[in-house]
Amino acid sequence: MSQSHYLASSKQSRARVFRYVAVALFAVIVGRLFLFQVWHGRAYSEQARHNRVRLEILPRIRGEILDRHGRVLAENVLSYCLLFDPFEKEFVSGAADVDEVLTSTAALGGGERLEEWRALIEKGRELPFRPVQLACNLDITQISLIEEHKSRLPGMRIEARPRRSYPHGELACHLLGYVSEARQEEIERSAEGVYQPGDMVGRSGVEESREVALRGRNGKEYVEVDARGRRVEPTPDRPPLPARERPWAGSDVVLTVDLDLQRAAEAALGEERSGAVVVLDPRDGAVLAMASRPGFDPNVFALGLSPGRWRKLNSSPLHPLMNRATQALYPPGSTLKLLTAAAAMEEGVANPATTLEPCTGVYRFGTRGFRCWREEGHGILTLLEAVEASCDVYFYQLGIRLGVDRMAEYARRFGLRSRTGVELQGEKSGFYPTTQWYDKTYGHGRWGKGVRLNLAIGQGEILVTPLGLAVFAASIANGGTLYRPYVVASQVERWDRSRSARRPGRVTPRASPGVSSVTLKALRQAMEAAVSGPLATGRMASVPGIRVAGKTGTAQNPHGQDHALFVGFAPVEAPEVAFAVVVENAGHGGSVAAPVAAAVLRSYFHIQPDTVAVAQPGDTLDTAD
Amino acid sequence: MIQLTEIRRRADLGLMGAALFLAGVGICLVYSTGQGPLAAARASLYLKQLMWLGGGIAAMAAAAALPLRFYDGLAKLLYALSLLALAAVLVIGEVRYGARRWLDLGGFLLQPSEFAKVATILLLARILSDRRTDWTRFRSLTLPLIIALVPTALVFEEPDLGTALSLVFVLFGMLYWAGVPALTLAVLVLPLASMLCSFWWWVWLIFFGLQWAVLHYSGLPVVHYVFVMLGNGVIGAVSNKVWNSLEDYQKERIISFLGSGVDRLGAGYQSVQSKIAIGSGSIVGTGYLKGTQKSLAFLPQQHTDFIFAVLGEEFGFLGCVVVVALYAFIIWKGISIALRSRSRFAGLVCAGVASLLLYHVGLNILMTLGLAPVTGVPLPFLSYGGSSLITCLALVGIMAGISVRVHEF
Repeated sequence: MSQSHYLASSKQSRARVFRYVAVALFAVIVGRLFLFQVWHGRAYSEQARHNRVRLEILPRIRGEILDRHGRVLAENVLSYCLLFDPFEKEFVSGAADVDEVLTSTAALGGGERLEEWRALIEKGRELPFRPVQLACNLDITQISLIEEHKSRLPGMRIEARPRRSYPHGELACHLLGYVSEARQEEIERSAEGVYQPGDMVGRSGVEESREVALRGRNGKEYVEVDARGRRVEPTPDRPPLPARERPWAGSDVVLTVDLDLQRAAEAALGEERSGAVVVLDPRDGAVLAMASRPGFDPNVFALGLSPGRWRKLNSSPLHPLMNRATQALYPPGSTLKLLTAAAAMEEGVANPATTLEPCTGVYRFGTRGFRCWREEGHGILTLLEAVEASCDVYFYQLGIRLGVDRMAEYARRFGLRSRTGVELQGEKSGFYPTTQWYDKTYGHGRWGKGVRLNLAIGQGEILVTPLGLAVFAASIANGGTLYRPYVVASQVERWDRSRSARRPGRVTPRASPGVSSVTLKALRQAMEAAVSGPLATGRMASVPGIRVAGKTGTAQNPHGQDHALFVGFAPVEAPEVAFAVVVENAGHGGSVAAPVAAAVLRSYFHIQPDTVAVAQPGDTLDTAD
Repeated sequence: MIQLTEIRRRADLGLMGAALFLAGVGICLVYSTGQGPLAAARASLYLKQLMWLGGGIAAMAAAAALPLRFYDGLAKLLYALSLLALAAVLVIGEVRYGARRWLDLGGFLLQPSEFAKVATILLLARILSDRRTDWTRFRSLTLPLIIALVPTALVFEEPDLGTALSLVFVLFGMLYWAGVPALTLAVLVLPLASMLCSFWWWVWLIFFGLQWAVLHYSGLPVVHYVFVMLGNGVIGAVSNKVWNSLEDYQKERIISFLGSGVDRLGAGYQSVQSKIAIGSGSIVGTGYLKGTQKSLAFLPQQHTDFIFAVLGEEFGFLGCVVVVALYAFIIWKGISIALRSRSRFAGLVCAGVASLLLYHVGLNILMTLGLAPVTGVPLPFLSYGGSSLITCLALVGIMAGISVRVHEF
């Protein structure tokens, strides 16, 4: 900088620069004031006297949610809304009173909401350029009543706005989620284009996880209106209003779910029972169906849910809002014998043909007797036969040989101690205890060695989500890849919808359990036998013409009747679907959950119910597991 | 009874009178915004403002009476306290309109960023008044830059872009007054300019052409200015990435600053309404308390950031010109005092205060006239708000005190 010294200046010249800057600034200000107040003053005061500028929000349209074949699961319908502008000229000049207008509107209908309206308008005063939305989904009678009395209801107008609609009602409600009006703090926190009062926000499921893509962007337009609210074309002598910004529709979201399969899964679960069904494509982790019962009708949220009905939904003991597929934790029961078997084979504790002490119906360990579900016992079994027959005594012995931590390690490898990573909010993580956990919970050495026997047959503290179980089954089916399950196949821009070729879904291998293909093959063999073998416990899952593999489970439930479980995949030679079924408080996996799986598979493989082999009355079918 | 001549000997009455007159106009306007059926929430705000005016007068009188040495000694302590307060705001501050700017002191809200301006001006003046330092050297700028940029960063974090930039503006004004060559200041600003220009490649090209011309003909060695230009190129190139990490509303504000017409919902509306209100005042205005636009569909900020629009509507062109002239008088006077004062410290303080007022008055009025983005800077003396009023009156008090002690060192 040494050569720039000649730019250094005297105090006088610096003061001069300061003054030049100030003079220039004040000249601009006075010039601009002159332009507005003297040059355009008349036009502006005309405008101020007769008209006002109002901001019109041009409502966006939320993207649709489609199934994998493009069938609509969530769409938008037009709804008529009642809007009120408390800053209408009559109110400012004192010619009309806000409360009077509200009262007479309430007298036309909706009288019970008067207090609510008053509160809404009080809040709306903070955004004086926006009308307040008083009510939506008006019917024709209400519309004509208000239109008829419009002349004495200043500030009131009716506008058509899009409303979310779910044409299939409860179908896939947990997966889709629902929308409700943006809350005050969301409006305040968000950037301008994001939420306006009255805008809908996705609250759960895909509506929530894909909110950003679905919502689109509101447009806006400043319009000049006269005292009667009629639009006035701006005249050239007035300064122009900011340009119109057009609204952008949200992207459509295409799910991996198949509408027919989803419907079949929900029908198979039945109206009365609680539980979940998850069907995955084991080749990439795509969720083909995700059913959870009981459900709710997401349409009621879009229509505006009264606080009382919300409380009822939210506090129902059956938890209809909970997505049981991802948010409910169940003891897995005998379905986890597959895990114990895998651990035993991998650790060299047993091979598929290994025989252990014969099952006599009870196994003595220390001073305690551990029962097998089959009182008369199974006799001598190989590992494969033990899976097929679901013999508890065989697995007690594997548990003793493996120990808690080695089983827990395999649970970790199969992803049963973590979340599956599906994009849906609130997913629960599975749980499998370790010796460390027992030490921490009960104190060092203050827990019995017997826990390993219970863990080996899937009882005890183990907890899994139905989705976690399905991913586990899928990894056995596909030869050892844990995929992150995904529910969205693609997002399609509105203007792009005609394009037939859509981006393929995102496939993310999460991890590999690191289990040898020999072990997995043996597991698949055992699972097929568990459905169609001579000792099979899951016979009711069989579907004619399809080689089905599966494993039943009956989880002891301290709070009531046992939960019935079934996991599996089909067809065995080249698996296309993997699934997990949980039916709460329903009894045995073989008799309750397996038929649900069979119904789902029949739907998937398009096998008519009349060709189904029904269990013959003469068959001696073990309905336990 | 103290004689008027006695007071006149102690402080500059014209300066203080102008400031007090503006504060009085402010209270009248705040009262006006509280009238009408839709403004009940603001009805009693003028009383609060009146109370703060009392505090402001006391602060101004005290500031005028204190000797210069006192400020010199106090600068470090004040600066440390204000940094502490700014940090406290970020931790336990009150949130309004999405920004954390206030400290709740038992019922009334304090805005530490306003007081930080005083402290920063005093400490910068103290540092820059050191005659042993060669302020034409680039390296000597490190300490002043740090002193100004630490509170700037804290205020920016609240976020309060308008106030943060005011500190930068003050820094540049004081550096220039301290004798830092304009070219050096230009080199400091060039990276920012490069950043802004990089969003349009042809603007960026023009920018580089101009930059080269200025640097080349100012006699800088080629190696130096090639280095500066390369650096600015890199900064411009990465700024797009930084841009993406900004909050949406910050982006929108910056975009509207650059004039591409995208602005926040409220901001755009404010701008439209403010222009209509000012324009409808015509030459003499609608008359006091008779404005309709302010009571029509105006915004909560009509008594704070957009108070000039109320003035424009009710008092018209003539009223605006009087107020603008008073601001010009105060700033002009500040520069005169800086020029006359023999103490380098005093001169720098006055230059800093003049810069601060210039920034606030300019940005706020240009905003209400639709020539600057809606940044939320208050209009000194007029806007409702205690922290700003007390700070501004205290700063004028300091200048008024210096005015009669220009011969002191």
